[in-house]
Amino acid sequence: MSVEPEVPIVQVEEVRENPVLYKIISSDNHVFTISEHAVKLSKTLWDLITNLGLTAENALDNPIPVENVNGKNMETIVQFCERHKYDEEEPEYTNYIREFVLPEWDRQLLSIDNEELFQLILATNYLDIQKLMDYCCRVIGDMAKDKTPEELRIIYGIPTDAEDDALERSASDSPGPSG
Amino acid sequence: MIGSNIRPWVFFTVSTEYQESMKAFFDISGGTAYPNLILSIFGVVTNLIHVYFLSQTLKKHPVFACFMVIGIADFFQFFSVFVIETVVVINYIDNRNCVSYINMADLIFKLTSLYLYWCGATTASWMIIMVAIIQGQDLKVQHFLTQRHAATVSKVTVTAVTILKTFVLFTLILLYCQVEYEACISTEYQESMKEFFTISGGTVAVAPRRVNNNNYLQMSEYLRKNPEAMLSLFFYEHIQNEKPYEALIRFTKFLKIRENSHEYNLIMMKAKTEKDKINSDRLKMQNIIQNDKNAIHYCILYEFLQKKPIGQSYKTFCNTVGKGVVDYKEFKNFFDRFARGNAPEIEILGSGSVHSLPTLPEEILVKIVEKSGLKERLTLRKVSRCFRSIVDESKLICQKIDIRFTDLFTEICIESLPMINYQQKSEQCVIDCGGNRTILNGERHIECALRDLNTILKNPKFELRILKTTFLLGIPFLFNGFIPTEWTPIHWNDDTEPILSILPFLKPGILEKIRIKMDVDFSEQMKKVVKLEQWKQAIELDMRKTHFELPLEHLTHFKRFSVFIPKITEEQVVSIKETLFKSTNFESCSLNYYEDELDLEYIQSKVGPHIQDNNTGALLFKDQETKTVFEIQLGDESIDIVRKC
Repeated sequence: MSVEPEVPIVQVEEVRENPVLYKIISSDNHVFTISEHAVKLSKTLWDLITNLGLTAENALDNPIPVENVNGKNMETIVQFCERHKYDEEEPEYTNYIREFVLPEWDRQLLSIDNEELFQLILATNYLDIQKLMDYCCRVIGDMAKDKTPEELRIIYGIPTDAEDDALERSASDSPGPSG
Repeated sequence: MIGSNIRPWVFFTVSTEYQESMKAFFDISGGTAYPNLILSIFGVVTNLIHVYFLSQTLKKHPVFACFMVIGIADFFQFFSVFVIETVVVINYIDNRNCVSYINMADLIFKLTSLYLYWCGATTASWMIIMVAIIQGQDLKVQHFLTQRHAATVSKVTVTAVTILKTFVLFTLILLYCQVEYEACISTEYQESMKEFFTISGGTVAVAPRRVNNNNYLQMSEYLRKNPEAMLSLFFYEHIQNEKPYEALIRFTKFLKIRENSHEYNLIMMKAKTEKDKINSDRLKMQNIIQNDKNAIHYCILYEFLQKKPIGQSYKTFCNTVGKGVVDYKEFKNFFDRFARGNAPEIEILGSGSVHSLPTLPEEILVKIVEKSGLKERLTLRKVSRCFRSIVDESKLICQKIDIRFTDLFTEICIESLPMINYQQKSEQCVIDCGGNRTILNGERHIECALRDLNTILKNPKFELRILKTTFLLGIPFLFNGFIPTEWTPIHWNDDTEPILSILPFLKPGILEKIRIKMDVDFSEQMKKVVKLEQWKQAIELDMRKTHFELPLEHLTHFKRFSVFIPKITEEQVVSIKETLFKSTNFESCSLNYYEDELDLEYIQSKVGPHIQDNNTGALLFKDQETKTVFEIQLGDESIDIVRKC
């Protein structure tokens, strides 16, 4: 009887030659494969990977469950990270006036309806992807271009002060006895 | 009587404590709805037939009048049972029989049907007793019962029962009015209601929440294994309970985590660190839960597991996390989901939908605002109060603000925004912003302009690269105050000093460059200006076209400066050269003067050992100690001194 290692040596070499890949499972059990460079864009995921001690050898056997992000958002995020994995780190810009044009590819990726975009922002915030966050915020900010406050209220679904007040009132006082 | 074996179940869908012991009872009562319904239909139909035959034979014997009343009363009774059971069955099919929610329509329906049932049942019973007594008397005394007697007895019984039951009904209504209005009513009241109904003859049956124990265990386990959930629950309990230890004990005990076990200690440590982070501020805990969808879900699950009636759970939840965080409908949906045993798979982000911007956490909103242009921000400010505060407090970096004051108008140019013009037309101020005109009556243009400017300047995180202000003399107002916190117009008079109305309000040390261009004599003002910290800590000065008539010592602290000196002397040049060569931070300067005012050769002979560059004519100096090289260019209109290396 000989104790053979469970993973054949050949396979290990294969993994080494290829870029290191990680598996991520979204909340609705979709599995995504993402490369090491791409996953580094997400601070949360990378911290998780380092803390879990995942290496090139065991990465694919240990999928990372991300319970807070659903498959749809995860797909967008993975696409984005793969696209931007070799980007140079941008200096944090201090001047908002700096002319910043969203690249065409990213604009396409982020042309989704508001609800999806807001969900994506929450997911991005959770995964801590600075660049995607910037882009999403920019897309939302751009929606406001040449709009009146009334239009913005509709676009962003913001309640008016009166509605806010009513909400607050109903939340803070209890109405009198019912007839 | 036909159908009198029907058990008059009155389903009052007011849920009470979920009690294991009553489970079987509830199951039976739920199941009896169908036979009850069938029997009540049968009862209604047979009663109608009965009443029809009675009406035919009414004249034959006086007792039939009494039977008629009993028949009608029975009809009401069966009819109300029929209606109630139908509703119960519909609810049952819809799987909504665990609702404790009562709205006005529900209440009216329930009270009416109950009233009808009571009247019917009681009238029928009493009439039977009356008929028995009368028949007994009739046996003793012949023709005791006449039509008149029968009518009187019937009327009296019906009236008495109706009055009595009306009183009962009003007592019920009064009871409702006494209870503070809530979407859901609290247990104590439900308990009293239950008792009340039981005493009055009806029975209150409560639909069971069909959750088996296994699911409860799984759900508690789910919470226990989730450190985030444990922290949320700690906050949740701590908001309700002032003492952190008691809060900890309460929920750990509930989740059956043994005190001093490893698990318990872990939770305690985490709770302590997180609590210290926010200084035990319970309002902050509330905020943390409010802004975290997961935390909200954990708390709802926790409430669910406590097996309290949903109304009470919702009340506790609202009082703890805040009213309006989750509306009742959503809350109920969660309960229903948990009841179906869905808890361990709650997927968090997908479940709550985000339709509008304000539902995002504030930190994200701030990021969005910071990525928006100034114009968009100013529009966003007007959208709602909540956004105004976010816009006013998020970081704003501005390249340049250009303000021009004249006696008739003020112009403000911020960044690349279209220029805003405030024009004075007698008592009106006409504001023109990129073609949009607004007219304000009884306002001065400077006041309007500065008020608008303040919306940006009062932002505590506002950063400005260049502030350019231009004054045309003769303006009736000028401002005074603080930049960037406040600018208030003051009355103009001859003593008003434009530089002193701005410079002292800029932050010393932050202000790097001062550029002054004046066409009039303002040396008195400059005497005060050079004493300002803002002047002393600035790095660069540009006054190349403006007369500087004070001693040159006031300039030597600048890294770079450029001034025009109208009454320059050779001695001044030589002395400033000596000072600047010794200065450690000096880089370059330019001394401008009226043409041919200086004897350049005399200066060259006095400045010490140097080498003259043949091409440019510049004089080069090398300091032996510090190895630095200075260059002096003597020109007909200016002397430039530069540190080379």
